[in-house]
Amino acid sequence: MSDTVTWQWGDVDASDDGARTCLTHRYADAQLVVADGRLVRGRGYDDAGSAVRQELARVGAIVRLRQRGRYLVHAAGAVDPQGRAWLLAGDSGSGKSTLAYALARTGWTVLGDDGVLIERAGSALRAHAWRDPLRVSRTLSVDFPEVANPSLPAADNDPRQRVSIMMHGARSATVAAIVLIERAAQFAIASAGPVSALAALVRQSPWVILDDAYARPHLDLLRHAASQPVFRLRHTPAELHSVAAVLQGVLA
Amino acid sequence: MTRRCTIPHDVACAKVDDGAVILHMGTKRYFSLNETGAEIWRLLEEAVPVDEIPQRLSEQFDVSVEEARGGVTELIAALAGEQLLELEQA
Repeated sequence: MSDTVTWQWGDVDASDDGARTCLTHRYADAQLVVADGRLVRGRGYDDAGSAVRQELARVGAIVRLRQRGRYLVHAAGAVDPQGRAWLLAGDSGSGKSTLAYALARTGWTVLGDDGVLIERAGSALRAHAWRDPLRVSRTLSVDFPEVANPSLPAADNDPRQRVSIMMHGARSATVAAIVLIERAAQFAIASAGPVSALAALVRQSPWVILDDAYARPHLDLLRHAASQPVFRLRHTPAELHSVAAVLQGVLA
Repeated sequence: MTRRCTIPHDVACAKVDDGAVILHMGTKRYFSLNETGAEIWRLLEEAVPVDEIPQRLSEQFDVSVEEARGGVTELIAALAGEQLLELEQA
């Protein structure tokens, strides 16, 4: 019987023997190893293309941080003027980047628009930046005209016509609340029950189902996150200029 | 005949106030349980024989033993169908 755990993530195959995790890109003969809390370049890594290296490095960073008790959740994170972090979790297209940008325009700082690291801090939950450029759709220019600026870099062939915007970023903050977001025809915001919140956080934390030594601590951290104030926000374009007040209002 | 259930090693459960979420690392699926379902899961984790669970539930919730038996049977069948439980005869 082998103690080695194998899993796949995107184009990366992983083999974890408990002491080291070897990440191999499926379509390039390139490896990155996570051992002793460090990322070590393996066979073919230096000769691989930048996209392959980036993908391996991203997965390696997530694995390494997971081993340290910091877990990536598919959420935007923004810090309000009182220094409190708000996590906006939801499926792709639910409006994470849009709302993060709307908050940033009012002076909030951004931890990330498509991923945030979370860890336990006693009875609290701490959120850390997972820094990628904030990307919002050019269609948002209806509400925020500056997004139409042609000098903003845009990805080729992106069906969502997203442009990258550098915003003032935060490094970390204690989480005040988690907001489960979805676009809707009618605005609504309400508290979410713990089991509903936990299920939603599991859905937005695909790394929790990796069958390795960190799966249960990861699940326990999500259970802890679900014990924080959690709300469900159904938002419409009408809230874009008032989302900061809407969020702060629920904790008032 | 007294039946017991065992929980596979690659199944993890997180309990919260109003229920629980169960993960199956092998099938990569997750499931939510309400408060009653989470209590049934807790009893299964304690290796309580399946036949004893309805009586335990009727003492804890406002439900008859017969009503509880139907719910327990249905939930265990659903969980076993998702490979979250293994049924054994004792």
